[in-house]
Amino acid sequence: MGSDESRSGQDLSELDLVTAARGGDRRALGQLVRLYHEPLTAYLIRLGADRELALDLAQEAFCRVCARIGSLTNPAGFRVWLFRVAHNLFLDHQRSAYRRRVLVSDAGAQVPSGVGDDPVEAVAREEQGDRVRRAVGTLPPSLRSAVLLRYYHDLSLDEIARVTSVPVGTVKSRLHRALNALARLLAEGVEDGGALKVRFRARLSEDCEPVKGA
Amino acid sequence: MRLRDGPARPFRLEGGPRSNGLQSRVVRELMGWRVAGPTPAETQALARFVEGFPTAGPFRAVLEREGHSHANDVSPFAPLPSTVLQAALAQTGLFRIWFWLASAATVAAGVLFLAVTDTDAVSCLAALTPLLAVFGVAHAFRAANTGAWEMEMSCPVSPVHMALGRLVVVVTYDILLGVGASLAVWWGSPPAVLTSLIVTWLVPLLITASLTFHLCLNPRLRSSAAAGLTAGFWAAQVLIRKTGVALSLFARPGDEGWAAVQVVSLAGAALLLWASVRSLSLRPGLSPVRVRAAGRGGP
Amino acid sequence: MKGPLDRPGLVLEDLWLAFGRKTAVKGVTAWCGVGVSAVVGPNGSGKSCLLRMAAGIVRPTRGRVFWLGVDAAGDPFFLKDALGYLPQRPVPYPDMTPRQFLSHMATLKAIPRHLAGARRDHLLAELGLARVADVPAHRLSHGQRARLGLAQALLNDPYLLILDEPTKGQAPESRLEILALIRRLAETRVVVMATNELSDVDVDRDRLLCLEEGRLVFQGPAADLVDRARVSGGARRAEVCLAEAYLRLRRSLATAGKKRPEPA
Repeated sequence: MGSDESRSGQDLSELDLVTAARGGDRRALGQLVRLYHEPLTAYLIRLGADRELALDLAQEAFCRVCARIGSLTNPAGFRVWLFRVAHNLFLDHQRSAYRRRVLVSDAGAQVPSGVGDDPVEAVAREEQGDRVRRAVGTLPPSLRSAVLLRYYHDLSLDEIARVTSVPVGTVKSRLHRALNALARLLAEGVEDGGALKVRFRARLSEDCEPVKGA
Repeated sequence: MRLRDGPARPFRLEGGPRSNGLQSRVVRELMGWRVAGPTPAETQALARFVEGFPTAGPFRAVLEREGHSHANDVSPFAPLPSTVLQAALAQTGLFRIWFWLASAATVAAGVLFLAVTDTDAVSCLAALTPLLAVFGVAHAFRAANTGAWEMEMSCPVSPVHMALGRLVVVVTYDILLGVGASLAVWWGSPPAVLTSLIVTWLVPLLITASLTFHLCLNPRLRSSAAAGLTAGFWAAQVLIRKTGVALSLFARPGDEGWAAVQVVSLAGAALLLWASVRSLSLRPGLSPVRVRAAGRGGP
Repeated sequence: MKGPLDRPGLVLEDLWLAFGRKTAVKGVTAWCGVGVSAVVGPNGSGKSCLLRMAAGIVRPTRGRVFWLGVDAAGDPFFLKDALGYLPQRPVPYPDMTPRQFLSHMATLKAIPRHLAGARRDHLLAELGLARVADVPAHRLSHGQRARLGLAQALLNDPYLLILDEPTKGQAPESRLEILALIRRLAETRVVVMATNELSDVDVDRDRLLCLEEGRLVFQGPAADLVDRARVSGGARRAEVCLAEAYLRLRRSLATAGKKRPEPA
């Protein structure tokens, strides 16, 4: 969480890193990887990639962005650029997987509890996480990405619009629909099973956007 | 240093406080979903990987800031369909001044010749314009299958767009010259008559341009050989016409089967074009990889 | 999609090139990082074919090329955007002058016009072509044409240089200047250089990729090859030069039959 002050302090450090990286400082690039690898991979996993694929896509996104860091005109746009590249790589992969009729994986499984956690709480947390995972998994990718970027990665509406290449109004509408759907699903409960995957794949064609942002 | 990972500041939903209450409830639930991200070792490996990236000089930094990469709108290599046109415009400098002048002078000489003699204008233009296309395309691809071609292929440009762009330059220029000559010769004719007369030379132009294009891209042929072969095809068509056979590339409007000849010829031109583009996209070699005997330069 | 993570640079993975009945490159797997990677081999060993595949000019029959972790087959522009390539026979358009040719190439490399002019003039001066900048290429000497080819490879100040025999046909002074330029560039860039001149290779700094009939028979630091020859010959290091080490390698291959190379 943190206050606005500490947030702006972090942002300044990140800006310094991006500025240094743009100037050819490769160690700054490494620091940016350390900063963003976990959130970017988590985004891809929640979007629907399994862990291996998420690591692959995150690696490729970093490689593409880092190789062209010099072309970034506004250092504050690094995060949006990185997420946009990863987002488009995921969509490209989904399209080719759909054409190959490969079973699209559901959103990432809940992390098991650690040693020492209270067992009752741990079970409750796992169940809650699974419930959320299944609920988010029923959303089409366009709504899912908006929710993930907004609530897990704290991107502004404008930033989400740039990551997903849609107008800000569309982002608002997607968030609205997603929240309503999630509220209903989380209240009613969601069953795991084949029907969800069929529904997801049926929506794939209407929700995949053929945009390359690299 | 870690990014903040927690509930975001709620934005104002339409519908007022009830909607915001809904949002808060959902967000609280969402935060219960944790996923297994990368291990510290995996992150470290990736960080070290990018730290080993090469660097370039100050000019590269300027170039990247100017946004020269292929994804830039300013670049001629943006996605289709504008790319072929942009590739065409970007390569007009490839054509030397004498190409523009020689083509125009040839057509002007032809028009003058028609004006002072009784030669049949239809046959003259139908015979002349395909030759312009043959030598124009050969000129455009004079470096095909040479070192210059390899250097061009190494640029961040689609070989298909690059090749089609050059073809577009030649064909467009020849069509403009042909239309100008047609207007000069048949000024005042009804539009339908003018159109059919233009089609009479346009179709042979397109098919000879496509054939030369296809042959120039063959790694076993130089552009001069490609032009020669197409000129031979053109000469054969002229001879067929001379013998009185109607079904020649140079059939005239009113000849039996004229329309069918035009349709078949256009289909042939399209097929040649498709085959050329496909060969550029799929062929394992774009450069002169014809095997030479060991000891004479090697692959 | 995922390239090897421990080696940033150019990675060639199991590359094969076959056309007609001949297989020019057979299963080459190699890594080229920052610095010079010298590709050596007799005529017909597949050096130029390998470099063409690495540059994305020729599509491999099998295998993949990775540049900075990205598969070049999936996005050839990513590699070509960073690339400067010099072919074995860098013959420019005979009717174009060096100035015109570099302007044409600058357009194909998407260099903005307002930057291209100064960059072109800088390279013409740096490579000793300023005096012949407006002479048609068919009137240039072989060495001048080769330097013009190198100039076009450097137009976009690339991260990756793939040079096929850059010193071929050069006078001794030009050869040394070109090698010095290449070494300077290789301090921060990836340079892959095919050469028939072992004297072009810096034993202490360069990596060596030895090709024999399309197969990679050695890859690693050039010093390792020298050390291997020294050890096997029982001689002191100072008595074994790279050329001799290379000859010993070829002789051992000829007597023992073709072997798959050990990874370096």
